[in-house]
Amino acid sequence: MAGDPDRDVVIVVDSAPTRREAMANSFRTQGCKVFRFFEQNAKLLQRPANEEQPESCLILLWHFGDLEQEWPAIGATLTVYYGGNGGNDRRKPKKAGQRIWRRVGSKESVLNEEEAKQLVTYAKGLSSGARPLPTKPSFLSLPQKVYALSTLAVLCKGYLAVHAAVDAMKEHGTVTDFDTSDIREALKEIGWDELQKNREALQNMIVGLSDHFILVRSSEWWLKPCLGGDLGDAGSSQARLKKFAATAENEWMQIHGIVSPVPEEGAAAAKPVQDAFKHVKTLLDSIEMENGEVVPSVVASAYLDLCKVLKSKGRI
Amino acid sequence: MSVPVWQHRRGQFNHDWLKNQFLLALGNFINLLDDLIENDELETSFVSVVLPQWEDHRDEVGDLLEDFDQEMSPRTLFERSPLAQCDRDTRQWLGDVIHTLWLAKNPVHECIQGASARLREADEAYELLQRRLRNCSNTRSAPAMLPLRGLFVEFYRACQKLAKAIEQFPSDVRIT
Repeated sequence: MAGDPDRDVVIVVDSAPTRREAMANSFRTQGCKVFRFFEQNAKLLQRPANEEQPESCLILLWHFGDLEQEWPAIGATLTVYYGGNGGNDRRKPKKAGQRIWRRVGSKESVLNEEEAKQLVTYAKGLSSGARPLPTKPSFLSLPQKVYALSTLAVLCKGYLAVHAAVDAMKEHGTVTDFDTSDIREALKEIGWDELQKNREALQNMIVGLSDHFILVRSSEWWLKPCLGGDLGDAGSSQARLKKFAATAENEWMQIHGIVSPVPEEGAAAAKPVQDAFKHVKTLLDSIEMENGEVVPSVVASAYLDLCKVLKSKGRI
Repeated sequence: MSVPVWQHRRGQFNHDWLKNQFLLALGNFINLLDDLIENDELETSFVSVVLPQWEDHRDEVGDLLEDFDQEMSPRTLFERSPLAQCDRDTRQWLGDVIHTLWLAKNPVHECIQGASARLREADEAYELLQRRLRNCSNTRSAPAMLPLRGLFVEFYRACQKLAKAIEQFPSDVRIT
């Protein structure tokens, strides 16, 4: 192998020079020896041309657009494809390998140093045959469906907007317990503060919104979308809601990298994540109560927690 | 997970055509004018075959910008389960609320206006270049077109800025 045998070898195949160099730099900062290839006249060339070619590498990073060229026989523990169209690029190869699912179209979107570190750790784990298998970096996984959490977040926003409208119009008397710090923060999160800066948009929106005040406080309003969706043959309403709640909790755990059911050895790590679900759980319990009333403090706390996790998934 | 149609259209225009075909060809042509590369086919056919592709494709940008705030709005979440299970009235008013808050919190219109301005600049650079090309003695010869190099570069930069502006739009439907 070319270069220092103690250094991990990474190859970047990319004909866009600034993106190639940015990608290479993220791995250099991890102490890796990086080799670079690019296409010219339908041939893959090495840069610099006089550099010795490696016999094998730990990670081969390959831009989708440079796939058509013939590859010299250099083995790789882990091959990762990427490109400006994201992991769904129509040029995705049939052969084995992972994909970066986000769009990597420019130097700004290449793997950062932390992500490069995660990838090196993952590849080393694969190389050593470690059991259990090392954690796969999230950018190599198909973006996870979070439909239960997204649904709850949308309903929370509607609920909070209705209450803010009622509060602004001083209808239905004053909304009790509406001026708490959680609620103020939640209103800020939904964009109410920005909306207030645009008087016309605010007026257009709040007209008629207060009519839904009684409706959104009833558990039935929340139940409808929760009972639909891709929940299989879950039977009765109660069973379907329980399944929705379980789906929401599973999505929550998966976002935090915890797969259900939690194995015994992972229980300690899962505990704080499960605990952090408590506000959403309280909301789900409110919805489950027959003829129950859903109160603002429960919605605000749940929404703030939902925001945190959905933001981490880029959904908010 | 399905990719939003808008995102797919954006990818086809911006990534597949503008950046990976048109700008590459335009960049190569500028290199040819600078005598850095030789390519007879590019030299003789660029102005008649490649450059006018701008006129074929530039309308796609207008459509993308026009459709963005409808196709990528979180209101579209009500078109599929689970939110499609809400009653019709809720789908209407809650959809409006979610859409309005999304517009209030995100610089959607600023992004659209920014990209529209970049499109206008690219159009202007293209039109100026075409006007000057009409007076060029031979649009199949690099030496004859060399005096217009600055206009080719200006158009190239305008297209680059447009590509960057289109890249700024989010690639998935966000709740806020």
